[in-house]
Amino acid sequence: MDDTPAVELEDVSFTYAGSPAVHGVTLRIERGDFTAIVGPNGSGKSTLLKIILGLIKPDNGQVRVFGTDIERFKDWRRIGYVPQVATGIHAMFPITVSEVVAHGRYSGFSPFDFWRRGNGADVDGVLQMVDMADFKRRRIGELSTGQQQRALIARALIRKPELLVMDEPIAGVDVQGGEELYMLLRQLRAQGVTILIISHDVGAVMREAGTVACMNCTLLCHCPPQELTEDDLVRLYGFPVEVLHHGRHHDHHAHGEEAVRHDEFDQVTPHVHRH
Amino acid sequence: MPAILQYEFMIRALIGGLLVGALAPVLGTFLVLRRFSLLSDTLAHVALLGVAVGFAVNVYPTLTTFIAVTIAAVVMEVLRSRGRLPGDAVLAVALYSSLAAAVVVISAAQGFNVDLLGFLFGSILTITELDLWLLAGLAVFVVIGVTAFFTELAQASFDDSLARVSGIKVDWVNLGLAVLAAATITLAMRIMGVLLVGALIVIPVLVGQGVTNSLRTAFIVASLVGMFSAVTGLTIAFYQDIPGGGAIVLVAVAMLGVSMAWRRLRRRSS
Repeated sequence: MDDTPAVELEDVSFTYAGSPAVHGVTLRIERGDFTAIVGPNGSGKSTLLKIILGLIKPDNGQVRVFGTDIERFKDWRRIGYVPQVATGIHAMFPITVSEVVAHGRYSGFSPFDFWRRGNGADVDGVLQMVDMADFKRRRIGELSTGQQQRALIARALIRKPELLVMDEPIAGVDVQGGEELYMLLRQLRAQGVTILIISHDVGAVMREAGTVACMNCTLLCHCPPQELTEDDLVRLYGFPVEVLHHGRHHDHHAHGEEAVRHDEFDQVTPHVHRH
Repeated sequence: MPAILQYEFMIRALIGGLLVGALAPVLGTFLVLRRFSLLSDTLAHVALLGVAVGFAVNVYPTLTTFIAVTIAAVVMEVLRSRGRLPGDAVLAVALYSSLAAAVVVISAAQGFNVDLLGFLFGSILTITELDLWLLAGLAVFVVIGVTAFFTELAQASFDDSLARVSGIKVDWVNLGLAVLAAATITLAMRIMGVLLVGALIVIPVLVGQGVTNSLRTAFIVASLVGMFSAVTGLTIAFYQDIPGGGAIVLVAVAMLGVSMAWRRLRRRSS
Protein backbone atom coordinates (compact mmCIF):
# COMPACT_ATOMS: atom_id res chain seq x y z
CA MET A 1 0.00 0.00 0.00
CA ASP A 2 1.19 3.49 -0.84
CA ASP A 3 2.43 5.12 2.37
CA THR A 4 2.49 8.67 1.00
CA PRO A 5 0.56 10.82 3.47
CA ALA A 6 -2.90 12.01 2.42
CA VAL A 7 -2.00 15.60 3.28
CA GLU A 8 1.37 17.15 3.91
CA LEU A 9 2.02 20.79 4.80
CA GLU A 10 5.51 22.24 5.14
CA ASP A 11 6.01 25.61 6.81
CA VAL A 12 2.80 27.03 5.34
CA SER A 13 1.97 30.68 6.00
CA PHE A 14 -0.76 32.98 4.74
CA THR A 15 -1.31 36.64 5.52
CA TYR A 16 -4.73 38.22 5.15
CA ALA A 17 -5.12 42.02 5.13
CA GLY A 18 -1.71 42.47 6.73
CA SER A 19 -2.30 40.03 9.59
CA PRO A 20 -0.94 36.49 9.66
CA ALA A 21 -3.90 34.08 9.40
CA VAL A 22 -1.77 30.94 9.22
CA HIS A 23 1.86 30.94 10.28
CA GLY A 24 4.52 28.30 9.79
CA VAL A 25 2.22 25.28 9.83
CA THR A 26 3.83 21.90 9.24
CA LEU A 27 1.37 19.03 9.37
CA ARG A 28 1.21 15.46 8.11
CA ILE A 29 -2.06 13.56 7.90
CA GLU A 30 -1.64 9.86 7.27
CA ARG A 31 -3.97 7.86 5.06
CA GLY A 32 -6.92 6.43 6.92
CA ASP A 33 -6.52 8.85 9.81
CA PHE A 34 -9.34 10.93 11.28
CA THR A 35 -7.91 14.35 12.05
CA ALA A 36 -9.88 17.14 13.66
CA ILE A 37 -8.68 20.73 13.56
CA VAL A 38 -9.84 22.63 16.63
CA GLY A 39 -9.32 26.19 17.76
CA PRO A 40 -11.15 29.40 18.61
CA ASN A 41 -12.97 31.53 16.04
CA GLY A 42 -10.61 33.39 13.72
CA SER A 43 -7.72 31.02 14.47
CA GLY A 44 -7.10 30.20 10.80
CA LYS A 45 -8.78 26.77 10.73
CA SER A 46 -10.94 27.43 7.67
CA THR A 47 -8.08 29.26 5.95
CA LEU A 48 -5.85 26.23 6.51
CA LEU A 49 -8.54 23.97 5.05
CA LYS A 50 -8.82 26.21 1.96
CA ILE A 51 -5.03 26.14 1.57
CA ILE A 52 -5.05 22.33 1.73
CA LEU A 53 -7.77 22.24 -0.97
CA GLY A 54 -5.92 24.70 -3.20
CA LEU A 55 -8.63 27.35 -2.86
CA ILE A 56 -6.12 29.79 -1.37
CA LYS A 57 -2.50 29.99 -2.43
CA PRO A 58 -0.22 30.26 0.61
CA ASP A 59 2.40 33.01 0.78
CA ASN A 60 5.01 30.48 1.86
CA GLY A 61 5.39 26.74 2.18
CA GLN A 62 4.34 23.65 0.33
CA VAL A 63 1.08 21.72 0.25
CA ARG A 64 0.93 18.18 -1.05
CA VAL A 65 -2.18 16.02 -1.33
CA PHE A 66 -1.60 12.31 -1.98
CA GLY A 67 2.03 13.22 -2.67
CA THR A 68 1.25 15.78 -5.39
CA ASP A 69 1.77 19.52 -5.05
CA ILE A 70 -1.74 20.96 -4.74
CA GLU A 71 -1.10 23.40 -7.61
CA ARG A 72 -0.52 20.45 -9.93
CA PHE A 73 -3.13 18.19 -8.35
CA LYS A 74 -5.72 16.97 -10.87
CA ASP A 75 -7.21 13.84 -9.34
CA TRP A 76 -10.07 15.70 -7.62
CA ARG A 77 -12.26 12.61 -7.74
CA ARG A 78 -10.30 11.38 -4.70
CA ILE A 79 -11.43 14.32 -2.56
CA GLY A 80 -14.89 14.96 -1.10
CA TYR A 81 -15.46 18.43 0.34
CA VAL A 82 -18.28 19.61 2.58
CA PRO A 83 -18.20 23.39 3.09
CA GLN A 84 -19.79 25.03 6.09
CA VAL A 85 -22.26 26.69 3.75
CA ALA A 86 -22.66 26.79 -0.04
CA THR A 87 -23.33 30.17 -1.63
CA GLY A 88 -26.01 28.69 -3.89
CA ILE A 89 -28.12 27.51 -0.99
CA HIS A 90 -30.89 30.07 -0.79
CA ALA A 91 -34.62 29.94 -1.36
CA MET A 92 -34.45 31.45 -4.88
CA PHE A 93 -31.88 29.01 -6.29
CA PRO A 94 -33.88 26.31 -8.07
CA ILE A 95 -31.93 23.13 -7.49
CA THR A 96 -33.19 19.92 -5.94
CA VAL A 97 -31.35 17.83 -3.38
CA SER A 98 -30.86 15.07 -5.94
CA GLU A 99 -29.39 17.53 -8.48
CA VAL A 100 -26.91 18.82 -5.89
CA VAL A 101 -25.90 15.27 -5.00
CA ALA A 102 -25.66 14.19 -8.65
CA HIS A 103 -23.25 17.07 -9.30
CA GLY A 104 -20.88 15.34 -6.90
CA ARG A 105 -20.36 12.66 -9.57
CA TYR A 106 -18.46 15.16 -11.71
CA SER A 107 -15.17 13.77 -12.88
CA GLY A 108 -14.30 15.89 -15.88
CA PHE A 109 -15.88 17.17 -19.09
CA SER A 110 -18.98 15.15 -19.88
CA PRO A 111 -21.11 16.81 -22.58
CA PHE A 112 -24.17 14.64 -22.04
CA ASP A 113 -24.55 15.43 -18.35
CA PHE A 114 -27.37 17.87 -19.12
CA TRP A 115 -29.57 15.01 -20.28
CA ARG A 116 -28.72 12.71 -17.39
CA ARG A 117 -31.34 12.75 -14.70
CA GLY A 118 -30.22 13.54 -11.18
CA ASN A 119 -31.84 10.50 -9.59
CA GLY A 120 -29.64 7.51 -10.33
CA ALA A 121 -29.31 4.55 -7.99
CA ASP A 122 -26.06 5.99 -6.63
CA VAL A 123 -27.86 9.23 -5.70
CA ASP A 124 -30.59 7.28 -3.91
CA GLY A 125 -27.96 5.20 -2.11
CA VAL A 126 -26.03 8.12 -0.61
CA LEU A 127 -29.24 9.97 0.24
CA GLN A 128 -30.33 6.92 2.23
CA MET A 129 -26.95 6.89 3.99
CA VAL A 130 -27.61 10.40 5.30
CA ASP A 131 -31.32 9.81 5.84
CA MET A 132 -32.38 12.29 3.16
CA ALA A 133 -34.12 10.00 0.66
CA ASP A 134 -37.51 11.61 1.35
CA PHE A 135 -36.18 15.04 0.41
CA LYS A 136 -34.62 14.26 -2.97
CA ARG A 137 -37.09 16.34 -5.02
CA ARG A 138 -37.17 19.26 -2.58
CA ARG A 139 -35.44 22.56 -3.31
CA ILE A 140 -32.32 22.51 -1.12
CA GLY A 141 -32.64 26.21 -0.22
CA GLU A 142 -35.98 25.54 1.48
CA LEU A 143 -34.67 22.87 3.86
CA SER A 144 -33.29 23.29 7.39
CA THR A 145 -29.57 23.92 7.90
CA GLY A 146 -29.05 20.38 9.15
CA GLN A 147 -30.81 18.87 6.13
CA GLN A 148 -28.80 21.07 3.76
CA GLN A 149 -25.63 19.92 5.48
CA ARG A 150 -26.62 16.27 5.06
CA ALA A 151 -27.30 16.86 1.36
CA LEU A 152 -23.82 18.34 0.96
CA ILE A 153 -22.35 15.35 2.79
CA ALA A 154 -24.21 13.05 0.37
CA ARG A 155 -22.75 15.11 -2.50
CA ALA A 156 -19.26 14.44 -1.13
CA LEU A 157 -19.92 10.73 -0.49
CA ILE A 158 -21.16 9.99 -4.00
CA ARG A 159 -17.60 10.66 -5.17
CA LYS A 160 -16.42 7.69 -3.05
CA PRO A 161 -13.61 9.92 -1.79
CA GLU A 162 -10.34 8.73 -0.32
CA LEU A 163 -10.05 12.04 1.56
CA LEU A 164 -13.16 13.62 3.08
CA VAL A 165 -12.72 17.25 4.12
CA MET A 166 -15.47 18.89 6.18
CA ASP A 167 -15.70 22.43 7.51
CA GLU A 168 -17.74 22.36 10.73
CA PRO A 169 -20.06 19.59 9.59
CA ILE A 170 -22.25 19.66 12.69
CA ALA A 171 -22.80 23.43 12.77
CA GLY A 172 -26.59 23.83 12.78
CA VAL A 173 -27.14 20.10 13.29
CA ASP A 174 -28.99 18.85 16.38
CA VAL A 175 -27.41 16.42 18.84
CA GLN A 176 -28.98 13.34 17.24
CA GLY A 177 -27.89 14.51 13.78
CA GLY A 178 -24.37 15.04 15.10
CA GLU A 179 -24.28 11.52 16.56
CA GLU A 180 -25.51 10.06 13.28
CA LEU A 181 -22.84 11.97 11.39
CA TYR A 182 -20.08 10.67 13.66
CA MET A 183 -21.45 7.15 13.27
CA LEU A 184 -21.21 7.59 9.49
CA LEU A 185 -17.67 8.92 9.81
CA ARG A 186 -16.71 5.86 11.90
CA GLN A 187 -18.02 3.62 9.09
CA LEU A 188 -16.10 5.59 6.46
CA ARG A 189 -12.94 5.46 8.52
CA ALA A 190 -13.33 1.70 8.85
CA GLN A 191 -13.38 1.59 5.04
CA GLY A 192 -10.05 3.44 4.95
CA VAL A 193 -11.29 6.92 4.12
CA THR A 194 -9.05 9.70 5.46
CA ILE A 195 -11.15 12.26 7.30
CA LEU A 196 -10.22 15.86 8.01
CA ILE A 197 -12.73 18.04 9.80
CA ILE A 198 -12.91 21.39 11.50
CA SER A 199 -14.99 21.26 14.64
CA HIS A 200 -15.89 23.35 17.64
CA ASP A 201 -17.26 20.26 19.33
CA VAL A 202 -14.13 19.42 21.29
CA GLY A 203 -15.96 16.75 23.31
CA ALA A 204 -16.94 14.77 20.23
CA VAL A 205 -13.53 15.31 18.67
CA MET A 206 -11.80 13.89 21.77
CA ARG A 207 -14.04 10.87 21.48
CA GLU A 208 -13.97 10.27 17.73
CA ALA A 209 -10.79 11.63 16.16
CA GLY A 210 -7.55 9.73 15.77
CA THR A 211 -5.51 12.91 15.99
CA VAL A 212 -6.29 16.48 16.97
CA ALA A 213 -4.60 19.51 15.44
CA CYS A 214 -4.84 22.61 17.64
CA MET A 215 -4.73 25.77 15.55
CA ASN A 216 -4.40 29.33 16.70
CA CYS A 217 -2.68 30.92 13.71
CA THR A 218 0.18 28.50 14.36
CA LEU A 219 -0.16 24.78 14.91
CA LEU A 220 0.10 24.46 18.71
CA CYS A 221 -0.06 20.68 18.81
CA HIS A 222 -0.92 17.69 16.66
CA CYS A 223 -1.37 14.50 18.61
CA PRO A 224 -3.85 11.77 19.54
CA PRO A 225 -6.62 13.19 21.76
CA GLN A 226 -5.45 11.10 24.71
CA GLU A 227 -2.20 13.04 24.70
CA LEU A 228 -3.91 16.41 24.66
CA THR A 229 -3.38 18.10 28.02
CA GLU A 230 -5.39 20.72 29.80
CA ASP A 231 -2.46 23.08 29.28
CA ASP A 232 -2.73 22.52 25.53
CA LEU A 233 -6.37 23.60 25.61
CA VAL A 234 -5.60 26.62 27.79
CA ARG A 235 -2.89 27.65 25.33
CA LEU A 236 -5.35 27.10 22.48
CA TYR A 237 -8.35 28.97 23.80
CA GLY A 238 -6.60 31.39 26.14
CA PHE A 239 -8.65 30.41 29.19
CA PRO A 240 -9.37 27.26 31.22
CA VAL A 241 -11.94 25.04 29.53
CA GLU A 242 -13.90 21.93 30.34
CA VAL A 243 -14.84 19.42 27.69
CA LEU A 244 -18.37 18.13 27.73
CA HIS A 245 -18.76 14.60 26.49
CA HIS A 246 -22.27 13.82 25.43
CA GLY A 247 -24.32 11.14 23.79
CA ARG A 248 -22.05 8.21 24.67
CA HIS A 249 -20.12 7.00 27.68
CA HIS A 250 -16.45 7.57 27.37
CA ASP A 251 -13.57 6.77 29.63
CA HIS A 252 -11.28 9.48 28.47
CA HIS A 253 -10.36 12.11 31.11
CA ALA A 254 -8.02 14.41 29.29
CA HIS A 255 -8.63 17.24 31.69
CA GLY A 256 -8.41 15.58 35.05
CA GLU A 257 -11.00 16.85 37.42
CA GLU A 258 -12.25 19.44 34.96
CA ALA A 259 -13.34 16.89 32.36
CA VAL A 260 -17.07 16.28 32.50
CA ARG A 261 -18.25 12.82 31.59
CA HIS A 262 -21.90 11.92 31.49
CA ASP A 263 -24.98 11.74 29.32
CA GLU A 264 -26.89 14.61 30.85
CA PHE A 265 -25.28 17.17 28.60
CA ASP A 266 -27.15 16.08 25.48
CA GLN A 267 -28.82 19.43 25.18
CA VAL A 268 -25.75 21.53 25.85
CA THR A 269 -24.86 23.43 22.71
CA PRO A 270 -21.54 25.09 23.49
CA HIS A 271 -18.94 22.40 23.82
CA VAL A 272 -16.15 24.52 25.21
CA HIS A 273 -17.00 26.37 28.40
CA ARG A 274 -15.15 29.26 29.95
CA HIS A 275 -14.60 28.80 33.68
CA MET B 1 -52.49 34.25 -43.89
CA PRO B 2 -52.48 36.68 -40.92
CA ALA B 3 -51.44 40.21 -41.79
CA ILE B 4 -48.39 39.96 -39.56
CA LEU B 5 -46.92 37.22 -41.74
CA GLN B 6 -47.44 39.15 -44.97
CA TYR B 7 -44.55 41.49 -44.23
CA GLU B 8 -41.02 40.27 -44.70
CA PHE B 9 -39.64 42.56 -41.98
CA MET B 10 -42.12 41.05 -39.48
CA ILE B 11 -41.15 37.50 -40.38
CA ARG B 12 -37.51 38.50 -39.80
CA ALA B 13 -38.50 40.15 -36.50
CA LEU B 14 -40.42 37.06 -35.34
CA ILE B 15 -37.58 34.69 -36.19
CA GLY B 16 -35.12 37.04 -34.51
CA GLY B 17 -37.45 37.35 -31.50
CA LEU B 18 -37.70 33.59 -31.14
CA LEU B 19 -33.94 33.23 -31.24
CA VAL B 20 -33.31 36.08 -28.80
CA GLY B 21 -36.15 34.89 -26.55
CA ALA B 22 -34.60 31.43 -26.37
CA LEU B 23 -30.99 32.57 -26.01
CA ALA B 24 -31.15 35.45 -23.55
CA PRO B 25 -32.65 33.46 -20.62
CA VAL B 26 -30.27 30.55 -21.24
CA LEU B 27 -27.32 32.73 -20.31
CA GLY B 28 -29.41 34.78 -17.92
CA THR B 29 -30.07 31.69 -15.80
CA PHE B 30 -26.42 31.45 -14.81
CA LEU B 31 -26.07 35.22 -14.29
CA VAL B 32 -29.17 35.49 -12.09
CA LEU B 33 -28.18 32.45 -10.03
CA ARG B 34 -24.85 34.12 -9.24
CA ARG B 35 -26.78 37.26 -8.25
CA PHE B 36 -25.03 38.99 -11.09
CA SER B 37 -28.19 40.05 -12.93
CA LEU B 38 -27.01 43.61 -13.48
CA LEU B 39 -24.12 42.38 -15.64
CA SER B 40 -26.52 42.30 -18.59
CA ASP B 41 -27.67 45.87 -17.96
CA THR B 42 -24.08 47.07 -17.64
CA LEU B 43 -23.02 45.28 -20.82
CA ALA B 44 -26.00 46.79 -22.63
CA HIS B 45 -24.76 50.27 -21.70
CA VAL B 46 -21.30 49.31 -22.91
CA ALA B 47 -23.04 48.23 -26.13
CA LEU B 48 -24.24 51.80 -26.58
CA LEU B 49 -20.60 52.90 -26.61
CA GLY B 50 -19.89 50.24 -29.23
CA VAL B 51 -22.76 51.46 -31.40
CA ALA B 52 -21.65 55.08 -31.05
CA VAL B 53 -18.09 54.18 -32.06
CA GLY B 54 -19.43 52.20 -35.01
CA PHE B 55 -21.39 55.18 -36.28
CA ALA B 56 -18.52 57.59 -35.56
CA VAL B 57 -15.97 55.58 -37.56
CA ASN B 58 -18.50 54.29 -40.11
CA VAL B 59 -18.00 50.57 -39.37
CA TYR B 60 -20.76 47.91 -39.07
CA PRO B 61 -22.02 48.79 -35.53
CA THR B 62 -22.70 45.17 -34.56
CA LEU B 63 -18.98 44.45 -34.97
CA THR B 64 -17.80 47.43 -32.91
CA THR B 65 -20.44 46.66 -30.29
CA PHE B 66 -19.37 43.03 -30.01
CA ILE B 67 -15.73 44.07 -29.56
CA ALA B 68 -16.58 46.69 -26.92
CA VAL B 69 -18.94 44.42 -24.97
CA THR B 70 -16.59 41.43 -25.05
CA ILE B 71 -13.65 43.49 -23.79
CA ALA B 72 -15.84 44.95 -21.02
CA ALA B 73 -17.19 41.53 -20.03
CA VAL B 74 -13.72 40.01 -19.78
CA VAL B 75 -12.27 42.96 -17.83
CA MET B 76 -15.21 42.96 -15.40
CA GLU B 77 -14.93 39.22 -14.85
CA VAL B 78 -11.19 39.46 -14.17
CA LEU B 79 -11.67 42.37 -11.73
CA ARG B 80 -14.51 40.55 -9.97
CA SER B 81 -12.77 37.19 -9.70
CA ARG B 82 -9.53 38.72 -8.38
CA GLY B 83 -11.49 40.65 -5.79
CA ARG B 84 -9.87 43.97 -6.71
CA LEU B 85 -13.30 45.61 -6.42
CA PRO B 86 -16.65 44.31 -5.13
CA GLY B 87 -18.83 42.85 -7.90
CA ASP B 88 -21.46 45.60 -7.74
CA ALA B 89 -18.81 48.34 -7.75
CA VAL B 90 -17.24 46.81 -10.88
CA LEU B 91 -20.64 46.93 -12.61
CA ALA B 92 -21.29 50.53 -11.55
CA VAL B 93 -17.89 51.77 -12.72
CA ALA B 94 -18.24 49.99 -16.09
CA LEU B 95 -21.81 51.23 -16.59
CA TYR B 96 -21.13 54.90 -15.88
CA SER B 97 -17.77 55.09 -17.63
CA SER B 98 -19.10 53.47 -20.81
CA LEU B 99 -22.23 55.63 -20.79
CA ALA B 100 -20.10 58.74 -20.32
CA ALA B 101 -17.79 57.70 -23.15
CA ALA B 102 -20.81 56.96 -25.37
CA VAL B 103 -22.25 60.44 -24.74
CA VAL B 104 -18.91 62.02 -25.65
CA VAL B 105 -18.58 59.95 -28.84
CA ILE B 106 -22.19 60.63 -29.85
CA SER B 107 -21.65 64.34 -29.27
CA ALA B 108 -18.47 64.29 -31.34
CA ALA B 109 -20.37 62.48 -34.11
CA GLN B 110 -22.94 65.33 -34.16
CA GLY B 111 -25.64 63.86 -32.01
CA PHE B 112 -28.29 61.14 -32.31
CA ASN B 113 -29.72 60.01 -35.58
CA VAL B 114 -32.58 57.66 -36.37
CA ASP B 115 -30.41 54.52 -36.50
CA LEU B 116 -28.91 55.22 -33.11
CA LEU B 117 -32.38 55.65 -31.59
CA GLY B 118 -33.24 52.27 -33.07
CA PHE B 119 -30.34 50.72 -31.17
CA LEU B 120 -31.42 52.48 -27.97
CA PHE B 121 -35.02 51.36 -27.94
CA GLY B 122 -35.01 48.49 -30.40
CA SER B 123 -36.56 48.46 -33.82
CA ILE B 124 -38.13 45.56 -35.61
CA LEU B 125 -37.62 47.45 -38.87
CA THR B 126 -33.85 47.45 -38.57
CA ILE B 127 -33.32 43.67 -38.37
CA THR B 128 -31.39 42.59 -41.43
CA GLU B 129 -30.87 39.17 -42.93
CA LEU B 130 -27.24 39.33 -41.76
CA ASP B 131 -28.44 39.95 -38.19
CA LEU B 132 -30.60 36.85 -38.42
CA TRP B 133 -27.75 34.68 -39.70
CA LEU B 134 -25.51 35.96 -36.91
CA LEU B 135 -28.24 35.25 -34.35
CA ALA B 136 -28.81 31.75 -35.73
CA GLY B 137 -25.08 31.03 -35.63
CA LEU B 138 -24.86 32.29 -32.06
CA ALA B 139 -27.90 30.23 -31.07
CA VAL B 140 -26.29 27.03 -32.34
CA PHE B 141 -23.04 27.93 -30.57
CA VAL B 142 -24.76 28.76 -27.26
CA VAL B 143 -26.99 25.67 -27.27
CA ILE B 144 -24.03 23.38 -27.93
CA GLY B 145 -21.83 25.25 -25.43
CA VAL B 146 -24.37 25.36 -22.62
CA THR B 147 -25.52 21.77 -23.15
CA ALA B 148 -21.93 20.56 -23.16
CA PHE B 149 -20.86 22.57 -20.12
CA PHE B 150 -24.16 22.59 -18.21
CA THR B 151 -22.72 20.77 -15.19
CA GLU B 152 -19.71 23.07 -15.05
CA LEU B 153 -21.89 26.19 -15.37
CA ALA B 154 -24.39 24.92 -12.81
CA GLN B 155 -21.73 23.96 -10.26
CA ALA B 156 -19.79 27.19 -10.68
CA SER B 157 -23.06 29.07 -10.12
CA PHE B 158 -24.00 26.96 -7.08
CA ASP B 159 -20.73 27.32 -5.19
CA ASP B 160 -17.37 28.46 -6.46
CA SER B 161 -15.31 26.49 -3.91
CA LEU B 162 -17.26 23.24 -4.34
CA ALA B 163 -16.85 23.53 -8.11
CA ARG B 164 -13.09 24.08 -7.83
CA VAL B 165 -12.66 21.09 -5.49
CA SER B 166 -14.63 19.02 -8.03
CA GLY B 167 -11.91 19.88 -10.54
CA ILE B 168 -13.85 22.45 -12.55
CA LYS B 169 -11.84 25.27 -14.11
CA VAL B 170 -14.15 27.93 -12.70
CA ASP B 171 -12.21 30.91 -14.07
CA TRP B 172 -12.50 29.60 -17.63
CA VAL B 173 -16.19 28.77 -17.18
CA ASN B 174 -16.87 32.31 -15.91
CA LEU B 175 -14.90 33.85 -18.74
CA GLY B 176 -16.76 31.76 -21.33
CA LEU B 177 -20.09 32.76 -19.83
CA ALA B 178 -19.11 36.45 -19.93
CA VAL B 179 -18.12 36.25 -23.61
CA LEU B 180 -21.34 34.40 -24.56
CA ALA B 181 -23.37 36.99 -22.63
CA ALA B 182 -21.54 39.73 -24.55
CA ALA B 183 -22.36 38.15 -27.92
CA THR B 184 -26.00 37.59 -26.97
CA ILE B 185 -26.46 41.18 -25.80
CA THR B 186 -24.84 42.53 -28.96
CA LEU B 187 -27.28 40.67 -31.21
CA ALA B 188 -30.35 40.91 -28.99
CA MET B 189 -30.17 44.69 -28.73
CA ARG B 190 -31.22 45.07 -32.40
CA ILE B 191 -34.67 43.82 -31.38
CA MET B 192 -34.83 44.74 -27.70
CA GLY B 193 -32.86 47.96 -27.65
CA VAL B 194 -29.89 48.75 -25.42
CA LEU B 195 -32.12 49.89 -22.58
CA LEU B 196 -34.36 46.81 -22.46
CA VAL B 197 -32.18 43.90 -23.52
CA GLY B 198 -31.26 43.12 -19.89
CA ALA B 199 -34.95 42.56 -19.08
CA LEU B 200 -35.20 39.56 -21.40
CA ILE B 201 -32.07 38.11 -19.82
CA VAL B 202 -33.42 38.39 -16.28
CA ILE B 203 -37.25 38.29 -16.15
CA PRO B 204 -37.89 34.90 -17.84
CA VAL B 205 -35.29 33.40 -15.50
CA LEU B 206 -37.23 34.67 -12.49
CA VAL B 207 -40.36 33.00 -13.88
CA GLY B 208 -38.46 29.72 -14.25
CA GLN B 209 -37.02 29.98 -10.72
CA GLY B 210 -40.48 30.48 -9.28
CA VAL B 211 -42.35 27.61 -10.89
CA THR B 212 -40.01 24.66 -10.43
CA ASN B 213 -37.52 23.27 -7.91
CA SER B 214 -35.26 21.72 -10.53
CA LEU B 215 -32.41 23.67 -12.14
CA ARG B 216 -32.72 21.78 -15.42
CA THR B 217 -36.46 22.42 -15.64
CA ALA B 218 -36.09 26.09 -14.59
CA PHE B 219 -33.58 26.54 -17.38
CA ILE B 220 -36.00 25.14 -19.99
CA VAL B 221 -38.99 27.07 -18.61
CA ALA B 222 -37.01 30.34 -18.74
CA SER B 223 -36.19 29.75 -22.39
CA LEU B 224 -39.82 28.94 -23.28
CA VAL B 225 -41.02 32.07 -21.43
CA GLY B 226 -38.45 34.14 -23.33
CA MET B 227 -39.67 32.80 -26.69
CA PHE B 228 -43.35 33.25 -25.77
CA SER B 229 -42.72 36.83 -24.58
CA ALA B 230 -40.85 37.70 -27.76
CA VAL B 231 -43.47 36.36 -30.18
CA THR B 232 -46.45 37.69 -28.20
CA GLY B 233 -44.79 41.06 -27.64
CA LEU B 234 -43.87 41.47 -31.31
CA THR B 235 -47.38 40.52 -32.38
CA ILE B 236 -48.90 43.10 -30.02
CA ALA B 237 -46.34 45.65 -31.20
CA PHE B 238 -47.31 45.04 -34.84
CA TYR B 239 -51.06 45.40 -34.32
CA GLN B 240 -50.89 48.24 -31.77
CA ASP B 241 -48.02 50.11 -33.47
CA ILE B 242 -45.87 50.27 -30.32
CA PRO B 243 -42.12 49.58 -29.86
CA GLY B 244 -41.33 45.86 -29.98
CA GLY B 245 -38.81 45.84 -27.10
CA GLY B 246 -41.25 47.50 -24.72
CA ALA B 247 -44.06 45.11 -25.65
CA ILE B 248 -41.84 42.04 -25.19
CA VAL B 249 -40.70 43.16 -21.74
CA LEU B 250 -44.24 43.97 -20.62
CA VAL B 251 -45.41 40.48 -21.66
CA ALA B 252 -42.51 38.95 -19.71
CA VAL B 253 -43.36 41.06 -16.65
CA ALA B 254 -47.02 39.95 -16.91
CA MET B 255 -45.86 36.32 -16.97
CA LEU B 256 -43.70 36.95 -13.92
CA GLY B 257 -46.75 38.36 -12.11
CA VAL B 258 -48.85 35.32 -13.08
CA SER B 259 -46.10 32.91 -11.99
CA MET B 260 -45.73 34.63 -8.61
CA ALA B 261 -49.50 34.49 -8.03
CA TRP B 262 -49.56 30.81 -9.05
CA ARG B 263 -46.69 30.02 -6.68
CA ARG B 264 -48.45 31.75 -3.81
CA LEU B 265 -51.66 29.81 -4.52
CA ARG B 266 -49.73 26.54 -4.70
CA ARG B 267 -48.07 27.23 -1.34
CA ARG B 268 -51.40 28.03 0.28
CA SER B 269 -52.96 24.84 -1.05
CA SER B 270 -50.04 22.61 0.06
